[in-house]
Amino acid sequence: VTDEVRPHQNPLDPDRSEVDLGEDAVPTRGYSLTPLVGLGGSAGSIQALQRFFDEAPVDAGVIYVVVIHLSPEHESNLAELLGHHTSMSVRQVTGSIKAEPDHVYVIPPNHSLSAIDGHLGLGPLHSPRGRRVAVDLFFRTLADSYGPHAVAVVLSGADGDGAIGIKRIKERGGLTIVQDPDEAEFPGMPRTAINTGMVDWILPVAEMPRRIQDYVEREPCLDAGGTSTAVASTQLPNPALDAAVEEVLAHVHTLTGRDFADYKRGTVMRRLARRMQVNNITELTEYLSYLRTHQGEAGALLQDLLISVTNFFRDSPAFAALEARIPDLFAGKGMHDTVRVWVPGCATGEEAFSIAMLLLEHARTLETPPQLCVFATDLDKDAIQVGRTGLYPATIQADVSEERLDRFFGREQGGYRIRREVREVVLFAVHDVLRDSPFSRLDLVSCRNLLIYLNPAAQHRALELFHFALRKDGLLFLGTSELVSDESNLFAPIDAVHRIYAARATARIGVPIMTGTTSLSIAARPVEGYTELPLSARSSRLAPARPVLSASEDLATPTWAELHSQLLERFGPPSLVVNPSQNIVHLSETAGHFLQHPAGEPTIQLLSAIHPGLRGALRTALFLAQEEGEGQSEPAPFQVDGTMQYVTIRVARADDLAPDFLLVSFLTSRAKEELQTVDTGSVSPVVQQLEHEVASLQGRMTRLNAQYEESTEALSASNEELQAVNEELRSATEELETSREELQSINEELTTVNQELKSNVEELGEANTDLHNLMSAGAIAIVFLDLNLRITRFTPSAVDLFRLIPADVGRPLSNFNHRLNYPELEQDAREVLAHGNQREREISSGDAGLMYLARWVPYRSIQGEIDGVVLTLIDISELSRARQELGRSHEQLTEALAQTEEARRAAEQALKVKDQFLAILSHELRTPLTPVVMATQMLSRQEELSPRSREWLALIERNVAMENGLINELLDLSRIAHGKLHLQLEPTSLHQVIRSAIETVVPDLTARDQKLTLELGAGNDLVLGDPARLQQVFANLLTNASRHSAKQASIEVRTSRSGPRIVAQVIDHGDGIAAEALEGIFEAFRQLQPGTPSHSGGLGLGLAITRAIVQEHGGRIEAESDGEGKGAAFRVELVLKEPTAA
Amino acid sequence: MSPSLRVLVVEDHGDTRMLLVSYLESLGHVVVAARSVMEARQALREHGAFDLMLSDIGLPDGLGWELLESTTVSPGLSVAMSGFGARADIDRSLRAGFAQHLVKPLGLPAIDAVLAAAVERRLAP
Repeated sequence: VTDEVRPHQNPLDPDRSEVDLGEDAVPTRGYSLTPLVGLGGSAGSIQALQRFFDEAPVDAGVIYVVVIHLSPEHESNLAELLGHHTSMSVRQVTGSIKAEPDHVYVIPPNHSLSAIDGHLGLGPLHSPRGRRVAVDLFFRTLADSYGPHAVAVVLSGADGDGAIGIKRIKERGGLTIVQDPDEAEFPGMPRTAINTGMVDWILPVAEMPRRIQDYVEREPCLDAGGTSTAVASTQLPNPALDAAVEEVLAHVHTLTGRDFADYKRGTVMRRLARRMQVNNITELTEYLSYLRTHQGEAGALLQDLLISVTNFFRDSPAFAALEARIPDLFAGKGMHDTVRVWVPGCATGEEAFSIAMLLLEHARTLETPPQLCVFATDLDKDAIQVGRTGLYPATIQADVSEERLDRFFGREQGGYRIRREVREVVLFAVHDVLRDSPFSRLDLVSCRNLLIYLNPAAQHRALELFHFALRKDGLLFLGTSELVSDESNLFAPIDAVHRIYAARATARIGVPIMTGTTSLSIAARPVEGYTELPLSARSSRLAPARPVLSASEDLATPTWAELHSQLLERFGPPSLVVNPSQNIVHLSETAGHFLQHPAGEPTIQLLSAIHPGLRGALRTALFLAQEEGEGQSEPAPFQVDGTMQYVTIRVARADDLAPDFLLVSFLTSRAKEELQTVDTGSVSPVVQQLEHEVASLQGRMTRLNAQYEESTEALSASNEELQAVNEELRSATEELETSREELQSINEELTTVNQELKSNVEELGEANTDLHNLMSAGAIAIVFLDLNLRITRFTPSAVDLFRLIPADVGRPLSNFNHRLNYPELEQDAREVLAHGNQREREISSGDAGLMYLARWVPYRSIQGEIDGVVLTLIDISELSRARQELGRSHEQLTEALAQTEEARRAAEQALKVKDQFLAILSHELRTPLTPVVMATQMLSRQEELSPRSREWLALIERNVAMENGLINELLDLSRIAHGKLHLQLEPTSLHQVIRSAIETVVPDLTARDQKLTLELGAGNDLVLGDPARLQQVFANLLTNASRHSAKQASIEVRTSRSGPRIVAQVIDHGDGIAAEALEGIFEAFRQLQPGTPSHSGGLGLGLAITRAIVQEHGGRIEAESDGEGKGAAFRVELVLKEPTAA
Repeated sequence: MSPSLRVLVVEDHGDTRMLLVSYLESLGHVVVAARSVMEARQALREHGAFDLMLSDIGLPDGLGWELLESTTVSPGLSVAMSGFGARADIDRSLRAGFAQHLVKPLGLPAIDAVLAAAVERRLAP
């Protein structure tokens, strides 16, 4: 088989018709090519692509081609984007290039991409109606060029591009993969692809590369041989393999009822191999067990074998050619006639609809168009169902012209639906061309791309069927790679290139007996002998009659051969031709002389029709001819044209020209002497009598036989027709059934709608009840007015106010004599109607003391238009009273507040005065102290002073200092009382502060001969504090400790760290503090020994000030003592500035 | 041997003023005493620049702050002396230009320290 030679290049070569037809459908041409993986998606699929190439092996020996929808206005950096995700070379296609394995090619913007014979080519991009079809276009070329080596992957995308391309891929034996729609960002493209039913795998992107690699690697080692050229095309006998295939087909037959015995073995093998590859199986026997154990695999295999693939107007030139022939179909048809078309193998109905469209288009041009009827049949029930639904993906725009889309399709969600007008023309039915009875009296049979899958015998049978089904001159439309063998005298080519044929007016042949369940076979079975007649014999029996017919009627100038035979007939000896039953089929001009019709029915039985005088001679000759092939009788005397002549009868077998036909010639001679004959009179009367009886019996038997055969044939023909009619009725019934189902579903829908409406009504009722209750429940007067201010509705509370009764609905509100002091009522209403704004007004009622809030709100209809106005009257008498009271309370409160404010101001003023007084007091107290201090100090610097004088001077100094301390304490206390103890915070070393404080008390300690122990244990002593004030704290504590301790006693100062705080303790072993005094020791003006303030030399303010300072620093101070005479400990805690530091 | 300073003492309290003057003079300084803002201004006008001015704040005819702020003659190192010892008072003195604010009663050690500072200022180049 030469793959490169397409059948249509030599359509008249009869030898090719049986072998080559199939090879085009499943091209072997792809088998030596490198696998090509086409990835299609929209622009949004880039992420999915990146994930794909993240996983894709770089040495799988596969070509990757990426076709996605790119913006036509921008340069594409797709190659770069993908290049980051694989180490394979990624490049944008710029012109025709050879595709190399392990390379990635991406589509450039504004172009379409095609894959032809290992090359990638660019073409212009046209988008019908702005739709994107780049993926479909590429997949189609990929399918045609790479066949089973094509892998099509449909990724995320919003529209339905790729779905049609995928069908083609599948048809050509390629692998189809779709991204799991749940994973895809835009599931539109995957969903549409899945809906075609042509998808092998639905996978997440990340899994695809591995599965593709497995699939590609699997192919070369397949044992089934379906893909290996040797087995597939030459079909070498391999009994084991054949047996396995038979078993697989038998299994499919059992499970699905479909018999593929008539399908070409090569086709079947390829489909099997594909299923094995898809399922990752290498041995056919293994596949058989897989088939048996996996539910659904039989269905999948069936799907693959049926290959329900077609497009609208597939092979448009062929359709254009057909369109030109359409008027022929209508010729001579009137209003009550029907143009009948049969589309066997219609798959999902595209072709049937395409033809229906052509018919409708022509019918429109006629004044009285005939009825139209297109029978669309297929084996595949699912496909038929798709056709019945008549909904096709939006991508059919690529195949159907815009004009036809508008005229014959309705746009719907999810695609285009065929219009009722077209749909009603087409009748769908499940039907097996080879098993079920055919339709009849058809004007056109369109059977495209079905024959290619059938073996030659089945092809032949199908053509005979079509011939039977077509009326005379009816058209047969075949696929581009199918043709009618020239040997066949059934069809005459009309357009050989586009495969349009006309049924020849061949004498009617019998229809072959169908074996399908609906067929004639059941009716024909009792007629024994009928089925035994070989078809070929039946046709050849009548075939010889045809040339004579055409010679006498059609041909004005006979050919030389015909002239010769006519001359022979005229001038040769008289002769006649009989068939094997010895019935006369043809006579020469003068042969009639030798015949003599006996009485009774006319007969063509030779032995009956022959002149009785010649019967004996004829018998002899016939006998001899049967024995020896040729026989000649003795001359018999015979009266010809009044003269006695001798006739010799010669019988010759026609042999190969017409098997079992005989030529009987009559040779006459006047030479009596030559003809030594037996005198007829010498025959005994008994023999003559017997002979006569035998002849008459034989004649009767022959007649009966003939009658019987004729009636059988007539019967079977009627039967056929009845059967066809029945088939049509069945289709009609199915149609009706479909309509009934449609009606049922419409009914169902109506029921649902009704149900919904009912529940809506109920809800409405409830809402109405609620509204009613709401209006009665609230003691609020509401009146609804329409645009003319007529009352439409009111609440019970409004009855009193307007003196309404239920009958008042519909009367204008102004008619009512209401009890309100509301002269502006109507004016307000009209204003709200005009402007649509709300309005509120407080009005009083004629009844004493009643106040109402009148609120006007526009009544808005559901559409939001103002349709009236709603007046609400709320009794606010209580509110109004309460409001008045509230006003009074408010006034009182304001007054009280003012008084309080005044009091506060006075207090503040007093405080200020007190502060000033204190400041001035301290100033005045300090002023006289200054000269005392100075004078004392100047005196003490006098050298000639006596020791006693010095003592006294020291005494003065001490008391002055004490005096000064008292003044300071007074001022401090005043500040503390106002919270005016302003600290000058800075980072301060507490240890430094303590040391400074100690320095100030050194004179006291020295005077009393006391010993101070300093133990500064805290590592970190930095606090945020006022050093002067802190020093004051410790000076005070130390002074206290010194004063309350005996002479020579010891005093301890310790610091330590306690968490984020530093603790400083001043501990003495002196007077101690009684438990009851301990509590209030930090209060101002506290002295341990009341009545003797001078003892400790202070006002008792020291500790109060100390605590205030510590607290102002955020620290705390505590005093501890075990009791009087047991010493005391003061503990100061301050927060460290950096508590974390060591 | 510390140099003799020209000192202006402004103090309305007679005893204090008398003691201050006699102490300063006993140390060999030249002292001019004033009892009021007016006298101080006159002294400044008449005697020219001083090395040190010790001034009370509360004076019969004004405040020591105003004196310092209005004078055109340099009173030298100026130190305030006052019975008001609140933080606000001290801040006010420093703003007015006093180098120091001594709270009364002040003793001789404080005056000695001020004198030492004035001497240092005088000797400074």
